This record gives sequence, C-alpha cells and structure tokens, in this order.
Amino acid sequence: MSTTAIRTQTEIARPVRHGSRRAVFWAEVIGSVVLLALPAIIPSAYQLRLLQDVAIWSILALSLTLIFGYTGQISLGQAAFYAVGGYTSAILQTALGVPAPIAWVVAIALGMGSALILSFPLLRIHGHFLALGTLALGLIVETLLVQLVPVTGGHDGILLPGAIHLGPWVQARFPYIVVGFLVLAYWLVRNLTQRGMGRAFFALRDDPDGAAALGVPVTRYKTLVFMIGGGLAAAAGVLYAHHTQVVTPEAFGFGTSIEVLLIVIIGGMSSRIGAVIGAAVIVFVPEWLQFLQEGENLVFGLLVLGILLFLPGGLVGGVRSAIRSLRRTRTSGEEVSA
Amino acid sequence: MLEAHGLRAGYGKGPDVLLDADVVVGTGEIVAMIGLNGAGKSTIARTLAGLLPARSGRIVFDGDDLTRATTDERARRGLMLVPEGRELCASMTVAENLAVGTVPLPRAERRRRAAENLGLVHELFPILEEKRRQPAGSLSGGQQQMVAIARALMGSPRLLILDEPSLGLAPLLVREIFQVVSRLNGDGLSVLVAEQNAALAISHSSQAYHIELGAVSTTDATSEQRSLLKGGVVGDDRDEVVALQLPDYRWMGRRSPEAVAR
Amino acid sequence: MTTFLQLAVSGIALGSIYGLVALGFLVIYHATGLVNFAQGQLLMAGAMTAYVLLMQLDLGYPLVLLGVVVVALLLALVFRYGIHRPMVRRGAPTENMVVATIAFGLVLTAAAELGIGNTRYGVDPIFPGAPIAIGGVSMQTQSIVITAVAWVLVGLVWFFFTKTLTGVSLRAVGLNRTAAAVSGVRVSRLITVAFALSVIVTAVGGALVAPIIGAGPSMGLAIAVKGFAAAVLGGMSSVYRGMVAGVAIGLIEMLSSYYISSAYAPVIAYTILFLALVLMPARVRKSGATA
Repeated sequence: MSTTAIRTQTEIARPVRHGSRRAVFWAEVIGSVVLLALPAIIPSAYQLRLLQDVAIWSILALSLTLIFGYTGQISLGQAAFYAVGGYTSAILQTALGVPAPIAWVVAIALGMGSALILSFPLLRIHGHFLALGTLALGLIVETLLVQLVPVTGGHDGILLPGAIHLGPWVQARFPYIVVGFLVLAYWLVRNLTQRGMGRAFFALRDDPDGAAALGVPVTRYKTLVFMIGGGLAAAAGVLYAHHTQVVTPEAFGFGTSIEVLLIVIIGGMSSRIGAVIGAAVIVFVPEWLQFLQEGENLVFGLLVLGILLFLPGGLVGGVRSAIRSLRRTRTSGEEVSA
Repeated sequence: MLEAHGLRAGYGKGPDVLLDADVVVGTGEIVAMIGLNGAGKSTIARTLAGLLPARSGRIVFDGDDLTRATTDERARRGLMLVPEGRELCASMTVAENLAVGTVPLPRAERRRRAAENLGLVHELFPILEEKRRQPAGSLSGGQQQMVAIARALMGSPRLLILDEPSLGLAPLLVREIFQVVSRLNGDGLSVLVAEQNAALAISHSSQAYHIELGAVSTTDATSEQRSLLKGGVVGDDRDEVVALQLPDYRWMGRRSPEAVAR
Repeated sequence: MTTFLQLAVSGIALGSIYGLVALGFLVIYHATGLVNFAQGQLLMAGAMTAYVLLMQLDLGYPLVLLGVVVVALLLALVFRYGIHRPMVRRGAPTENMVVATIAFGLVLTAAAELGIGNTRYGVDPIFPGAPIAIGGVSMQTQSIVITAVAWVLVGLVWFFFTKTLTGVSLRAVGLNRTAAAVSGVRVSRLITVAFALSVIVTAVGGALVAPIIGAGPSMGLAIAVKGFAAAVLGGMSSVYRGMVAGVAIGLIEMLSSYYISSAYAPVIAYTILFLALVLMPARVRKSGATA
C-alpha cells in the first residue's frame, strides 16, 4: 500500500455538522436515560442477562474505539487490561476480603496504571507493529492467567459469588450498575473526543507528524488515550467478574481481544454509538441464530470482511452515508421545485 | 510517434492542472517542454507515462491508443519515463536497478539484448560500470540520474520522457547528461524532455513547447506569454531569450492560436 | 550433553519452521507494506491439508506437498483477488487491511473447525524410520528432514529474489512502486506473485510442522507469534536473518521448556517478540528489504 492511501474513514469520523449537533446531543441524553431505565422495564432474567452482556462488551469496545478509532492504533491486547480489572477485583474480594467498591476502584486504577506503564514501551512501536506488540502483551497475560495457579486459580479461575461479595440487595440491582457504567463510559469517551482534544485525536490518527508540527503533544495524548482505554477495559472486567460470578483465562484471552475488534469494525470504527451497536450485534446474532452454533465464528468473520469491503464505516457509517444521500436528494429536489 | 490531444489531469480530487494540453513528438525528434516551476511540465510527463490518469483527452503512441493503459504497459511498449527525482530502488545495487529495466524486452531475446544495452549504457556512463555492485542510494545525485536514464535505456525505449533531469545537479553534470541525450537522439531515439533550464533544453532540441500557466485553469495566459517572449520572466540570461525566439517554437494550452491552427 | 544435543536438533527443526513463517510474513510485508495476521491460519491450512491428504486419503508425502502447494495457491488468490485488491481499489486505509487479514484468519479457523472439528490430530512422520545415531546422539530422522526441506525452500526463495528477473522486479515493487512501474514491471501481477509465494512458503511450513505437533484448527496463533518474533528479531529484512532468528527462538523454546519450565516457555517467545518490537530501530521499519 502506498502511504498516501486515501482515508475514507476521515469522512465518517468527522464530527457531525453544526446544525445537527444539538439533535445528536439530545438523542444521546434520551438514549442514556432509556438505557438507565431498561433494567426496570425488561421483565425476564434472560433478557436482563443479555442486556448486561451487551453493556459490558460495549464498555470494552469503547476502550478500543478510543484507541483504534481515534488514533488509528490497532490494539490486539485489550483483553489484557480487561483481565487486570476482572482478576484484581476478584482476587481482592475473595482472597483479601476487600469490600467490593474499594476493590473496583483499585482494579480500575490498576488497569489505568498498567496501561500507563506499558504505554512507554508500546508507544515506541510504530504503525501496524503496535498491533503485534499488543498481541504479544495479551498472550503474555493470558499465559500467566493459566500458569500462575496460586494467584489466578489456573484454568478453574476464581469464583466470585454475588450473594456473598455484593450482598443480596446490590446483587439484585447489579444490572443498574452495569448500564450506569456504560453511560458513564459513553459520556467520558464522548467528551474526550468532541472538544478540541477530540480534534487532536483525529489529527493523531490521520497525520501524526502534522499534528506534532502543529504543537499537539502527540505522545502525551497517546499515553492518555491508552490510560483511559486501559481503565475502561478494566472497568468492563470488574463488571464481567460480578456478572458471570467467575473469572477464567478463556474469557480474558486472545479470542476476547479479537471479538472486541470485530465489535468495533461491525459498529463503525470511529463511532461511539457504533461500539454499542456492534456489541449488540455480537451478543444478539448468536442468540437469534442458535442453529449456527459452531458456524458463529465463520459468520462473524465473513460479516467483518463484507463490512470492510462494502461498508468501511461499519453499520453506523452506512446509516450515516444513507442519511447524507437522502438529505442530498431532498435538498436537490427542493432546488428543482424552487 | 506520440500524439496527445486535449489532455486534462490533476492530483487527487483537486482541480485540473492541465487544461486540454496537446503534445506531439515526431519520430526521431527531440522536443523540450520548458516553463516555470509549477507550470505543469511534470504533470504532462506523468500523465503521458500513466502515473497520473488522464481525466480526458487521448494519448496515441505509434498508432495505439494508450490513454487507459497502465504505466507498466506503456513502458513495455517503449514509452518510457525517467521520473523526476530519479525513483531508484536505493537499497538495490546499480546492476539490479539496471536489471529491472530489462523487463520490457521480449523474453526470447532478453538475455542478448540486455547484454547489448548494458554495453551501450556502460559506454555512455562509464562510472556505472565501476559502481555496478554498489547500492544505488549510495551514489551521488548526478550518478543516480545516470542510473535512472540507464535503467530506461536497458528496456530499448522508443520514446524517452525525461522529467527534470537536471534537478539538483551540478551544471557540468547537467551538460554531460544533455550531451548523452543528444547523442541518443542522434542514434534515432525520440525524446521529450521537461526542463526548467530553458536555454539548455532548447539548445539541444529540435522543437520546444512552452508550458505556461495557460495550461493551468486558473490563470490568464496571454500576458504571461508576452512577458516571457520579451524575456522578462524566464531569467536574465540572454541565451534564454534568444532561444525562446526559435522559429519552431510551439505554444501549448488551449488558448494558444498555434495549437488551434494545427 | 546428549539430552542437550537432542533438544538442540528438535529446536533447530522447529525454529526452521518459525523461520518459514517469518519469511512468508516478510514477503507480503515488503511487497505491499501489509502486516499479515492470517499467517498462523495459513500455516494451519497447510497442516490441515497435509492431515487430510496423508491420514484420510492415504496419499504419499510428495503428493501431499503438491496438494498443500495447490491449496496455498488457491487461498492466496482468494485473499488477493477477493479481499486485498478490491480494498486497494477502494482506497481502504492500511489499518482496515490489517483487520481484514485478521478476519480472513478467523474465517479460515472457523471453516476448519466446521469441516473437521476443533481437536488436534496426529500426523504420521515423514520418514517413519528409526532414529539415527550420530556421535552417540540419536536424532529423529524427521527433524533432520524438516530442517533440510525448510532450508532448501529458503534457498530457493533467496535464489528467486536475487537471481531471477521476476524476483528482482518483485523487490523493486516493494522498494519503489513508481520505479517498478516506469520500468515496465507488471506491478499488480507481481503483488499476486508475492501473495502466492508467501502463502506457499507458510503452508509448506504447516505441512512440515504437522508431524511434530499435529494439526488442528487452533494451532496457528502460537506458531505465528514465534514467526512474527523471528521476522522482527531478524530486523524485518533479509531472508536468511529471519531464518536464523527463527532457529534461535526454536532453540530457546526447546531448551527453556526442558531446563526451566514448559509452562512458561511460551511467555519467553512472546517476551522476545515484545522486546524486539520495542527495540526495533525506526530505520528498519521504513527501509525495504535487501535480499
């Protein structure tokens, strides 16, 4: 590929036009409120479980969206920070008897801290080799989860019964906590990417050298993005541990890193809402198409290839360009009638 | 040999840089394109070679329409560009760079003709024989320009397009390169050369095109043409002014009356 | 000492396979700038093809190798014409293409799982003969055969890239696309050649490794990572340096899993990859291949 490859993404990722920005803001507010109310509305425990699945995947995907979508850096090791969150929280609560909220804060802080420390070597790696570096990192963590049996419980993992560690009252209301975290994560990513700093992020992705020349503190921003991404992934891990009441290496391995990547591609690489939509697709499609069973990965692999070929902005990008062309035909129609 | 008419081309999604440009190079001719920096000489060269797609117009080479052909296909047919900035494979040796140049030769006689062409190239540029095992990137600018020309010669071109061959070279080297080009032309090779150094280019050419801003869509050309003819724009060098008044001087650009008449 | 030498022989054999993966990776990287994450799954495809042809269809090893090459060629063409070229034509950014390689690998694994089931299958050794003893060290015949075949393959690739016009032209395509095009090199066709060469080398590596570690849909990743490590450790440049680095990694892996801990041996390979990436000089990433 020539380095001058046209970046079709830029167009998709460009902040929404001024007139519709307010509409988007209110849509986001209403969406958040609806999301927070969903656990009260949803009747069945099964659907409630799916909702939490979607929310946790969404948070994890938002962490990758932040890194990939807004800086063009592919991370194949997002599951490593997810693992830091999930295992830290589980170990603190089971082995050390730390109360849940404190364990959560420590786990998320550790996720951010480890991302901060690792960003120093990682950010020395440029371009697509960074994906290789994060891949190695994820695999190191996965191997350690399996092998450090005294700490992690090996393949059996660590049980984290909710009734004991959260108490029955909190346990019953845990879905609210999960969607609450998602709303927080969404608005965090939204605010990070929408102000002047958001523009800096785009610049980092599209033209890092140019951004540096314009005085954008490139390394500091990248480090920050990594750190926040690590914190979000850790938070998702914390929630996952309580949601499934067990942490095992399989849930935090390479497969998970890849699945998050698929979510981000399906939803739309540089889109906050794309992360949520992609997560919903990944959770619901296998539920609807139960007969697929083992064919699931094949379907998702082909789906992603199809999206990369025909819909490079993901589902959200597709909808956006559809709206844009609708609007264009409408205005041109008006011109004709006028 | 080469007839291109009504060429329009530009970069990316930008506006047309060429506006209906016409270029004709007859067999055995050596034709210069002169003009200011940014006037569109290189754009014409790149469009003729297929590095830039022609947005409209036709490029006919030896009776075949090559307007849609890829760069490599044009090169295999003998329409060969020595690009601006040399474009060598820096980490490959001089010999390997020259070897790549033999790709257009027909497979059956490649070995024999490659050896012949290599002999010619080494005769024209003895320094390349001496440096054949060195990475092309380690050579001086002038030597690299020689490699670029030599690489094109390896494929037995029928029309050589030289894009700014003198760029960044010492005057002595420039003169040497133009002498070689003249000699090749004397041996029957058709040449189109884009060159900022108008005096030099014209003194070695049978024809000259002046590429001026008339070929650029945004600027009015007529005043430019006149001031250029009076010798005000190109430079203070008397030679250039004299050279510009050669009888066969052809204008290009759509507003040029000569182009319309032809 | 005997144990050490035996481990060394197996380490060299395994490491030569890592070298082949590195070579396959470098061929595509240098021709197109693409970091191909489907490398491991392509190796898996080679191993699975070898398993099916050898164990289920009972073909001889020469026919098996031929079959692997044919399958590799088909996969290369599918990837090049079905995914890569259409994306290039649409002006897709490189990161999308990198993701496409990941998705392509996922599809290969999923297809293999659907086809044969997700287990590891044993594959008969190439030469069933008894171990031969050299100077008191008994060696598996197949370790020697695997090493020899791998290095012959590398020799052929080296010959192709330095002594044939197509090979030199392919290097030119990777180093300077404009230079290649103005010299008449059929750029698009040569990129297809690069894909084919890369996939064939990788898939043959899979067929060679199958008798040692078996064949299964999920075998690719672990080997691919060591191949990536070899490529990066070898400086992302020459054919033989990647091989040497691959052998080094194979040796380290064998010796460390015996003398230190088999459980943590993979971590050592991953750490090598990570450190090699972090310490890789910027110059290496930008400049092209030399041979």
